[in-house]
Order: sequence, then structure tokens, then C-alpha cells
Amino acid sequence: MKHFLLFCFSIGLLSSLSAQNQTLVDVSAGVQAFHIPLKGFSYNNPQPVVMAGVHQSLNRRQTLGLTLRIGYARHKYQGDALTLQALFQYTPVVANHLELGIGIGGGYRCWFHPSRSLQWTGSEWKNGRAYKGVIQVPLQLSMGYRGISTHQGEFRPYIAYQLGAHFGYTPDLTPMPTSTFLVGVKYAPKQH
Amino acid sequence: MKNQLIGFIFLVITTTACQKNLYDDTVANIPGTLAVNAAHPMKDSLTAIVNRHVAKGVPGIQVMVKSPAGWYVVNGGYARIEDKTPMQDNMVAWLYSLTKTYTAALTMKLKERRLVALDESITTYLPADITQNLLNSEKITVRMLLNHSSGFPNFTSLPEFQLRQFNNPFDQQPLLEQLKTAYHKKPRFEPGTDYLYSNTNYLLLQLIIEKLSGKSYGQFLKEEILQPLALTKTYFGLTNQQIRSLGFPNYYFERYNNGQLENITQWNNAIGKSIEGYGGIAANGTDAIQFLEALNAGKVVNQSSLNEMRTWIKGKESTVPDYGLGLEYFEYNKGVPTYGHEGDNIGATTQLIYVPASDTYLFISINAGRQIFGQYLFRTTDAKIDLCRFVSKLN
Repeated sequence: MKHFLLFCFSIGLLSSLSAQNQTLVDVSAGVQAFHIPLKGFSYNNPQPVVMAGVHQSLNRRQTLGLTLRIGYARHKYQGDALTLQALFQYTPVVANHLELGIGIGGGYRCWFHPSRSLQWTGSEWKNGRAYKGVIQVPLQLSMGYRGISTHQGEFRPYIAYQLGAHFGYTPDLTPMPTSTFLVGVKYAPKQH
Repeated sequence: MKNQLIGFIFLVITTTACQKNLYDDTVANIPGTLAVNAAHPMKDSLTAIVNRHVAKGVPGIQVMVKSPAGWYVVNGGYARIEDKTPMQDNMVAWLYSLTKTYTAALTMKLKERRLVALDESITTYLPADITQNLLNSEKITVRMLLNHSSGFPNFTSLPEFQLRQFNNPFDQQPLLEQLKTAYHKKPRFEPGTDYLYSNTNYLLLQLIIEKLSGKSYGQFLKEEILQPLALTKTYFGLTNQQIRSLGFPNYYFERYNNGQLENITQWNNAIGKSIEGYGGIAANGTDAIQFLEALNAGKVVNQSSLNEMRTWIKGKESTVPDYGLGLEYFEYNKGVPTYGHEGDNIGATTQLIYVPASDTYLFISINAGRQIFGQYLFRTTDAKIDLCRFVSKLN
């Protein structure tokens, strides 16, 4: 619950910031696997992931920003996951339009059991909770294009790689790592 | 936008609320009971220990004992929780690392035929395209594989192996692909100077056995151990259809270290089939006990080989001996040696011990896995320790 309140507080904070700086809608989709980008670790059997949220720039040059996202990662075998994520990003622009990004943040992930869970009550077996909440620390690298402007607004397509470290999944693998590749777009409607 | 976001969240919650049973399986009914001594002196205590641990949340326990007073079997809890299917006398279960005792015995048989020398480097028996990828391999002997003093890291404990398990539960790799996980990994210590339990050692032993015998591991096992001892309820290389018909229990995994179990039977079985000579034998407990009994009686290997198998080594940090050749040393009651082997997979834990002082054998099969620091590590380990301590207690 406290994580939800924190998320709502952040949304409120973004609203006040948006009065001064640009707010963009951020939607993305991609694939995710249990993986660390190190030698010997193979990226196999990736599963789909979608994310949606808002990106609030924190300065006039729009090189600093805070992204708040909700994401859903599907995993056929190990359980789906619903994520709330806040990501602070540094996004300098090089070569006029190329937006590079590095970000780090924190989040909360409800990780569902892929099958029914069972719990011993002391006298009988009952259905357990459907999910476990784990803390997520995402690290993101991205590359985008800043400069597509239409009569509807501004579009900033990007690709991103996000390494997620999840604390509290299983003590055998702590933190549980995920690698996510995303293709997305940030969109700001034209102010009339 | 706000409405779309709410709709998205609603869609997510409704989809995830419908949980399915992804990995569970049926449990075949195998009728009949084993002939036991109904007045066995351990009967009441074993039953009480099993019931106590079932009451603490262990899903299912099967215990078999053979002592001078005869056989006794205790089944507690469920083979399948969801429909309250009980554990059955005649069921078959994965033995996991108890398999290593069979693999060591097969290696000793090759030694007796002078096909392998235990103190020869493994580079003599394994192809260069394998050994050149394993650091220190020229200094490592067959004996060091057998008693886990090679220093090879345990590849199944490496995160790259475990993450692959999560990504591909039904797509288990063949042995040589599994072995690649251990390639170029730094040895944990200089060969022969310490003890580290490592599945890498027994995977390599299977390759040596197959090369020197000219037969598959399964065929050699059948010809050298299963057929001569008439172990008709011991299996290797099972198909899914066979697994369904032999009365295997369902298996449970504590994914999140929160005391909740998930039925992961088919995932567990997929692993069981893939771990071959380092964990892939399945059997009824009576067959497992009869194998160890035959080994002790010199019916599998000769006395000299048996003595070597029971020559214990001790790790630098151990207070009691750790391991012989394919046999683990245990001391549940101070000054009372026992030996046999433990086995583990994500959904189960097993144990087979022999207590020489009382000429007693104990087989334990529990259908919940032991995750590091998980609640079920303690629940299942406590059950095993209580049973082993009781059976090895001398009156």
C-alpha cells in the first residue's frame, strides 16, 4: 500500500512540475528474460513486456527527467509480473537529434505465481496468495531520436535496454536479474 | 489517457486472477502394499516423526526401513496435495544424487576390469575438446572426481545455469551442453586439497563410463547393476508416458521463500530426466535399499573396491568426514557413523543411509524441494534429520 501511495505522490509531483517543463506520455513494448549481460549468460526464451507511463523533464534543456511507468511482463512459465517503476534519467542530445539516455530508479513488482500456490495453515492446505511483491532496481540505457514534430505533437521514438535487479524473489538467486529490450515512443501533444 | 490507464490495469488484474495449473500432473494409482513386519520395533516412532513433520507442512513423506527386524514403510501426507492423493508403497520417485552411488559403483567395476585407473589423470580418458576447457584437468584424477576433491565448481549452482532453468523449464540441455556451463571456470581449490560437492565431477564420470564401456550409461547400468540384482523397480531414461504410469508423486517448489508451495511436477520431471549419471535414476525405495545392501554385501563391486568407496575424505572446514567414492558420510548421533547419499532437486529431497552398527537401512523421499534459506529448507531438512537421528540411534 505504501508503494502505491508513493506512486500517487509522484504523479502529483509530476503534475506540479509539468507546469514548468514538458511532460511526455511514454509507451513501450519489448521482451524480457531472466538474464545478466555477462559472458556465459545466454538470452533465451524472451517473453513479452509492455510499459506505459509519463516522462517529466526536470530542466529546460530536457536532459534530466523522471519517468513513472506501469509495466506488465508476461511469462508463460514463471509467472506474470506487474511493475510500478520510477526512473531518473539523464538524456543528453548529441548530433542535434540523437538522444542518449542513462537512468536508474526504483520500483515495486507484483510477481504472480504461474500456477496456484498452496499454503499449509497448520491443519490443512489452502490456496495461497497469488503473488509476491518484490523491490526492483532498474538500470536503463537508451537511445532515441528527438525531432519528429507533427501537427498532433512531438514524437520521440527510442530503443532501450533495462537491467532489473529484483530483491526478495528467491534467496537462491538474489537479486534476480532480468534483461529487457524495449522499443518505445515518448509523445507530447502540441499545446494550442 | 486516464481511462486508458485504468482499463489497462483492470485488464492485467483480470487476466492474472485466472491462475492455471501449469506444471502439475496426475498420480497413477499403483495398487498393493509391501510386505512389512507389522510389529516392527521402529513402527510407532517412525510414524510419529512422519506425522509430526506432515503437521508442520511437509506435503508428503515416504520412509522405508530395513533392519534385522525386517521391513517397515511409513507414508505420510500427500503425493498430490490438490486432490489429497496419498503417498503409496509402490510408487517410484526420482533418486536425484543417490544416483552418484550407482555411478561410482559402475566406475569401480571398470577399475576392477583394469579399464580405468583411479589415480590416472582424467585427460587420459576424456577427449581433449572437453578437457582443454576445464582448468586444471591434467592434474585431476578419476578418484578426485569420485570423491569431489577436484575443485571443479558445481555448474548447477552457477547463476547462468539456474537462470536458464527459469527461462526454459521444459527445454533441458543435453549433458555436453550442460557441461559447457563449467568451461573455463576458475577452480575452487588446487586438486586434491579440499572437498567441494560438484555435479560437474559426476557428469564427467558418466562420460568416462560411456567411453570406456562402449555403452550408454543406461545400458551399462542395466547390464551391470539392475539386471544382476533383479532391481525391477529402478529406472533410467524414462519417457513422460512412463513417468505418468509409475506412480510418481507430484513435486512442490517454494518459489518465493514465503512458505507457499507451487506444483512444479513437470518442470521437476524434465530436470530429473536430464541429469542422467549425476542424478537421473528413479526407483522405488525398496530397490534403492536393496542396491545399497547388495553393494555392502560385495555383490556389486569387490571388497577392495568397497573399501575404497568407504575411504572418507574431509574438507578443510569439516569436523567429520565428508565423502568417500560415491558415498556420503553422516554422523547424526556422535560416534555413530552412517553412510549413503542425499539427493535434491527443485521439487524434492531424498536420502538413503546405512547404519553399520545396527545393520539398518533408511530411505526417505519428500516431495518438496529445499531452496537456500527458504522455509522448506528447514521443514524438509528437519524431517530428514529427525528420521536419520532416530534410525541411527543405538539403544
